[in-house]
Amino acid sequence: MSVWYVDDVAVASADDRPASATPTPGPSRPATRWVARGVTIGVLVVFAFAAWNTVEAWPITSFRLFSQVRTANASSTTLVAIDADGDAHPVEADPDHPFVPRTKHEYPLLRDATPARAHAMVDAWLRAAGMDPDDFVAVELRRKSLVYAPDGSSRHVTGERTTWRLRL
Amino acid sequence: MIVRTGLASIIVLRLVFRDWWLLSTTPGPLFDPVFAASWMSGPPSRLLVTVLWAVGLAGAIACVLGVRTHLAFIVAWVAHVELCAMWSSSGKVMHNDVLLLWACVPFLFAAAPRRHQLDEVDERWGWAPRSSLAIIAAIYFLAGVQKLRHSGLEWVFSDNLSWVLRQGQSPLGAEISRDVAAFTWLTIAAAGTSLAFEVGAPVLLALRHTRAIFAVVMGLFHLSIWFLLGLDYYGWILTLVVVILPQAPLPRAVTARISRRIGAARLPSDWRPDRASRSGRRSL
Repeated sequence: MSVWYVDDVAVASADDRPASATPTPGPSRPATRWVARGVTIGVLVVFAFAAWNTVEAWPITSFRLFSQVRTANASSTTLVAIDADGDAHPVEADPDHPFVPRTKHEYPLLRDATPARAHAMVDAWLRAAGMDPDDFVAVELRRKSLVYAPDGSSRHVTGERTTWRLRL
Repeated sequence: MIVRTGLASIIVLRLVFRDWWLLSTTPGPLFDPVFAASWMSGPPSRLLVTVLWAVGLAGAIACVLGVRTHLAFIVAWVAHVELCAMWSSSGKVMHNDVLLLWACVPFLFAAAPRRHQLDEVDERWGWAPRSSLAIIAAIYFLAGVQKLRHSGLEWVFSDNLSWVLRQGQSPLGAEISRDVAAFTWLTIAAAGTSLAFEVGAPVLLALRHTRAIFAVVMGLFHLSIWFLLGLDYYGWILTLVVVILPQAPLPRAVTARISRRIGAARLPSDWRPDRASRSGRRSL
């Protein structure tokens, strides 16, 4: 038999409890409390450590969401392939491919990649763009500085520099 | 129970409304495994994705239906985490699922009531929704603190949000974002409100009467991000709804109507007239 409460007053047995009643809290469970504290505090400690040290190890993240101030000045990095005549050709993946366009975020990995891995990544980007790696002698990462029009409707390049180069 | 069921329902939606099979199309050298997928050396095969998807979906549906609830929830969560990890390993790390995944963590460790225990208040499962609430509060708090740490008050009192809007890609057209961005006073007010709610999340979610306000305001912000920037945060909105609202006192007229439909004993404790949440407060 249970005791039920309405407005903190015990009123009835389980058999004739009123519709608005709720059961009494169950027994105290110290082990459960320790698990509850351990899980909650453990997660919060992981969060605090990741945030303080800017750890990005998904799903552990530092929660830097839109944390940088944006202005009219921006930058972008593009991958270009250089042919034997020295002409530069932008490496642009098929925009309809579900993942390759998003892999632009992996450009910074090229700087620290081993030559073999860098060649493999570049080869994948060139092929995804429908370009034959044998037609080119090198690839470069170029960082463009951009300035937006005051209303944001257009932007123009104010500078460009090569930040990384790989001979094919 | 209502929170765990709600979270499992969101996992069902996330699993159904994404083409997970596309993962196998990632070129091998461009697969950069994140921490949760660090056991993988290359993009997943179609078979692996299908197995994970099917197991995860079956687990989430079983949890919603109340079949082996605890085990089913763990299975669904692990499968969903792995699929999301593979997705984040294929180009850009995604934060869309992070709130949901972390809000689920307490329920991996908390027992689930059996069918005949659904209207029982017990510490064994009563602590998890409160713990989930604390985790959500921490996530918003840290997101706010990081803005202050890396940008200071300039994040609010500058053209920052205007430029975020101008550089975004609204699914409704770039003109809408640019039109809104032109109202500097509006973007400053929105940035200030957003930051105040993020930094104030631990207090706003600790107080029962401000929980619903927090969920509504932050839900609207996520919705505006979706419309104005094209970033899909519906997983965050649904997580706020299923974790916070059952722990927030709703207007008596609303709870009375729900009570008549499902019975008062099955209402979340914070919707009950006698505020049985005392057991929840005791559980942490």
